Amino acid sequence: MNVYPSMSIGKVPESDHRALLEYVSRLKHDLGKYVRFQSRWLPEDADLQTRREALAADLLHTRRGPDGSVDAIAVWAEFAPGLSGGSEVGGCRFDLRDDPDVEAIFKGMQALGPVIEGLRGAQVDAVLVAEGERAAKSVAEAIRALVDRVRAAGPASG
Amino acid sequence: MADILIVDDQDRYLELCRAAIPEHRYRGPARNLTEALDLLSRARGRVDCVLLDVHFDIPVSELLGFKEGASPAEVEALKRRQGLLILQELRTRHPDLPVIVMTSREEVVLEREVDGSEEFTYFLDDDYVDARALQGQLASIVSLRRSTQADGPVFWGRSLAMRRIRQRLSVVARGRLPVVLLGPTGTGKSLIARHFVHARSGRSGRFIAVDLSTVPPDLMAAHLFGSVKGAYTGSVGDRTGAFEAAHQGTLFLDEVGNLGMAAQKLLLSVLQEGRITRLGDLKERAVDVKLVVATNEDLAQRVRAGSFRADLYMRLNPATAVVLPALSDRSLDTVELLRFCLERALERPYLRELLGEYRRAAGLEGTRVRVVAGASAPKSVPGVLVLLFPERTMRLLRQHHWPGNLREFAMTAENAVLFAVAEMTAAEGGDRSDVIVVRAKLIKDLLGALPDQAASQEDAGAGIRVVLRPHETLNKVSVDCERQYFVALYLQTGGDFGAMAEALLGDRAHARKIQLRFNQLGLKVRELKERL
Repeated sequence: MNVYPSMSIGKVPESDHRALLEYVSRLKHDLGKYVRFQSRWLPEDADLQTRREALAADLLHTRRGPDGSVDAIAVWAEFAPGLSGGSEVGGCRFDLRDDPDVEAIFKGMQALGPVIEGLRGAQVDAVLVAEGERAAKSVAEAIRALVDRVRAAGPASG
Repeated sequence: MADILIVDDQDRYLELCRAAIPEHRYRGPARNLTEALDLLSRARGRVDCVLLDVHFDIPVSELLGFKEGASPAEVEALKRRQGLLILQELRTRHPDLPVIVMTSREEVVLEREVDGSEEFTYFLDDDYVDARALQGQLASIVSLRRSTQADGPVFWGRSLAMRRIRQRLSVVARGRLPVVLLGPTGTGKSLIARHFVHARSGRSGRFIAVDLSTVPPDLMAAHLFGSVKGAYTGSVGDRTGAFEAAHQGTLFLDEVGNLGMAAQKLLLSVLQEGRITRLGDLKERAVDVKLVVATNEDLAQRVRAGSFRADLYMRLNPATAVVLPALSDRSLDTVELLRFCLERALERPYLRELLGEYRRAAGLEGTRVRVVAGASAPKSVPGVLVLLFPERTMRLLRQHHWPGNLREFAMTAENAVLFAVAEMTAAEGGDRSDVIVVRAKLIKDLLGALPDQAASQEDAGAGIRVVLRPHETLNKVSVDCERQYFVALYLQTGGDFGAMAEALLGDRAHARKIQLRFNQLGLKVRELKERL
């Protein structure tokens, strides 16, 4: 098995690049897209209640399927080990914790923890809503940046 | 308002679209291909655009491409590209339906199902789409579709030749320069002049059509330019000519080759000065007319022969002449033309009455008629009478040479319905009284009554060149011919493998077979695309 400890994305050899690209693309679809799916569609002047509801839908029901819904923390828990060397990705292990975008995702998800707890307990004030929106946005943008960089580092990018 | 079908395993897009883009009507969500096709069928062509998600977390029994024994990882991969498989299936049945795949092109670039060249497939600019971006994309796609549909079925077609003609006519319809329509008789020149050129000319005046082959030569000038009382023997009053009647509108002169030399001189003068003088009058009148002329003659040859004025010929703007193809060169458009002709025919009172009588005798209610071509009979729908043209019938219609072109085709289609209704009435008590089948044999009989000019038409299409060389195998000659045929068809269809499959195998769904054979013949799509 190929193991890539704390390395930069540009150093992943071509043979394992596709596995990494597929993995982060899934992360983008499952978390990056849905962590602020409904919030992104709100008008700029949306009231607090509407924003709170959108945030709750995005963070508490990030993934929906026939078996019910899963929150953002649970979705991230599936992917985090693959980016920190904890689990295999396409027969490889990638430890990208030093990568600035991966670091930003970890940090953003950490910030979302109390927001999700607050939303579960219906104890979310305007400050926490704003904090949740900011953290969700930073997670989504960091994932997007990560995918773009992985793609750019690949053989197809020329 | 547009009609949008959402194909998604969740309600999220539907909820968001309804809340944030409320100006459209939304159908669905369809959770899988079967539901999508069902909703499209029920919508009867009213859907303007499809929003298609890519990841479908649905039971394996509903998954397209699922094979028994697939590993969990394979099933997961299938779910993650399920939308692309649905897209492929949608394309075989709805080749020109706009579909927005709800992801960016970059995200699916590794998937083998994606054909980036699909004309009516759109991707998001950004995976993280918001309401404003989607609203803008929907508006532009729907507007494009509406403008294409407004072209009308006669001019609509998948063939590259017809698309180019449409583009060219759209340009020349505007402005004051005359338009010349060339092409064999019966190809729809007058329809195009009236419904396309005039409609797009931006003019407020009337559309006036004059068939010069029916106007006596000595009355031609008076007919076109008008006359005053006593201008000629039998002129008992002032008369407004076609030019004046078409002021600020469009004048269509069919069979312009019949224009006498004297009238040609007068026409030249009108084109140069923008003024007419009625026969016998001294007063000049300003006329602002968009002139469209049509002929199936070679006007340049007439100029060389001295029977058509060279200066008038040049004034008619021959450089931008539009040549309409013979119907035998438009076999890809047969289904659309059939629907168009039957829609027009069904407006005629006698045919409506005949169908009304049939309905009453068969105990059927309603007034709607649906034309189904190249397929089996659809499910029975209360109030709907189906005119069914099975694939064998369609093949005959596609393969016939149609020397009388659209006119002959329309007549045959109308006759086919008349006789098919008569057959059904005489047969009494078939399986489905709501389905009137136009059988291949009936078409054969109808076409058999017409002269077959196939032999004289042989040189009309693209030819295949065979060079005889000693010691060459028959197989090589055959492959060489096939290669030329494929290239010609590829260019004619604008690179649409589905359309090629329809032309060769009678079914668009066999596009992959055609593509495979294309590759086997060593043909390179990239090189051919440059020739499109």
